[in-house]
Amino acid sequence: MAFRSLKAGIGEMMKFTVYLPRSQKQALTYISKARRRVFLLAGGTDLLVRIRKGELKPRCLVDLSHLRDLRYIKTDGNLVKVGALTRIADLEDYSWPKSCEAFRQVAEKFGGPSIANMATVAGNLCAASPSADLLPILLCLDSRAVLRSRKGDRVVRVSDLLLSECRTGVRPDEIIVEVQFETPPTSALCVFKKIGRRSALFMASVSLAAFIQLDRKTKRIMQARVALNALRRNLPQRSKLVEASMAGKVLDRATIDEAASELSKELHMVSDVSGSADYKTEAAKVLLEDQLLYCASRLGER
Amino acid sequence: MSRYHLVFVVNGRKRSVRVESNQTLLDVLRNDLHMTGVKNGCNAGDCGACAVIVDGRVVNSCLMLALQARGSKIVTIEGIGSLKKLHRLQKAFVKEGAVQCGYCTPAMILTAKNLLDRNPRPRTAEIKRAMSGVLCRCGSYAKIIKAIQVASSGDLA
Repeated sequence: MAFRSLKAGIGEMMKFTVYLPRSQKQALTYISKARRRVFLLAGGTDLLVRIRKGELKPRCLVDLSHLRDLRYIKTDGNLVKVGALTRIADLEDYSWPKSCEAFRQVAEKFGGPSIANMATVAGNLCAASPSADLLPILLCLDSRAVLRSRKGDRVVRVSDLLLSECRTGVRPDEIIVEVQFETPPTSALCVFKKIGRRSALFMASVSLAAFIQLDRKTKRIMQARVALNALRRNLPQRSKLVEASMAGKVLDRATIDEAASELSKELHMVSDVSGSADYKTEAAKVLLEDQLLYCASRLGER
Repeated sequence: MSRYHLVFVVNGRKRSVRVESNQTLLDVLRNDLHMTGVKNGCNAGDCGACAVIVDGRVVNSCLMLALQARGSKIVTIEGIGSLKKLHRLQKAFVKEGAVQCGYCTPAMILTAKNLLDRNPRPRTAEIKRAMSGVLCRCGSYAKIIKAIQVASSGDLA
């Protein structure tokens, strides 16, 4: 059929086989026996673009998108558990406690609504890049990922799972099934903001998540966790210097100024399509001040 | 290259198509089912012209493998209104002059319908947010927003 060659427009994808498991067990059995490297397909918003660009050349995809038992948000004791295939849009719809504004904030600016309806938590984690908006939040919530293989489950901190840009510690015979973190207490606030070239449908130039917990009586900072979309090696990370500078202090202008100053010492932004290193370095400090002022204001209202 | 058998519901009708693994939903809808109202703007999820509704949620069909739509209910622009009876959004788009070249219009209508189905009286900020995933090269945005406001106001029959 002559029309077939025009069908895909720009960048027709290379051919691959697709396995359609009906259960986690089927999926795990298949990937454990696969002789060649298989790629896991969840939302497809990152994977299909990279295949089309030629960055990835899979021989086989395993489509996990129909495993509905991996799509949930629930509380279990003091833990919040988010299924790996939860869509970003689900994060926006969920009734989070007041201490957790970050998920609504990230979903509002996550691509457009159609991208948020498709993209998954696990997919964003595996992207392991500065444009993976969930990562700063998961890092400052000190999240853990549950990885499952036929041998069983293991739990790994998200910060340990991110090895380098686009590379994670998920093993070839594993799938991520869940991300979990402790419910932020009412004396805390978790926020997220990203800035970029537009106000919608944009990749982050700089994004930041902060988790601030104040002592109820003294109003001093009990815990401060701050994560940026890129710190060193172009990977989302928490800033230890910023966190150390804030511990035990009151969240006032002096503390915020010192935090911004400490951040400069740790920042090694790279120039890329989302902005120059100079811009991102300056923007990161401003974003930190902006978000800490916001936290001070919101926590002060309580 | 092996072919797969895809069964799904499109605009209320059960369809059965033989597809290749690397065909996207956009590709199958346009080329196998001849629903040419679904447009290929960028093939990268950046423009939203390929928007369709899958199981009640608007998605970019260029970023979905066709096989991922197995068992799903799809709505394309061909399933919205008819020549004899336009959907109120279509009436509003015509009334407000929200169509220039028309390329983004199917995606705009579908995305707006998905918004109104979930939020029947959206504020302007909510409309802008919901529509932020579909680009209009002609710059009809102001009229599109107005059309959605008119459609949601209940003033049109």
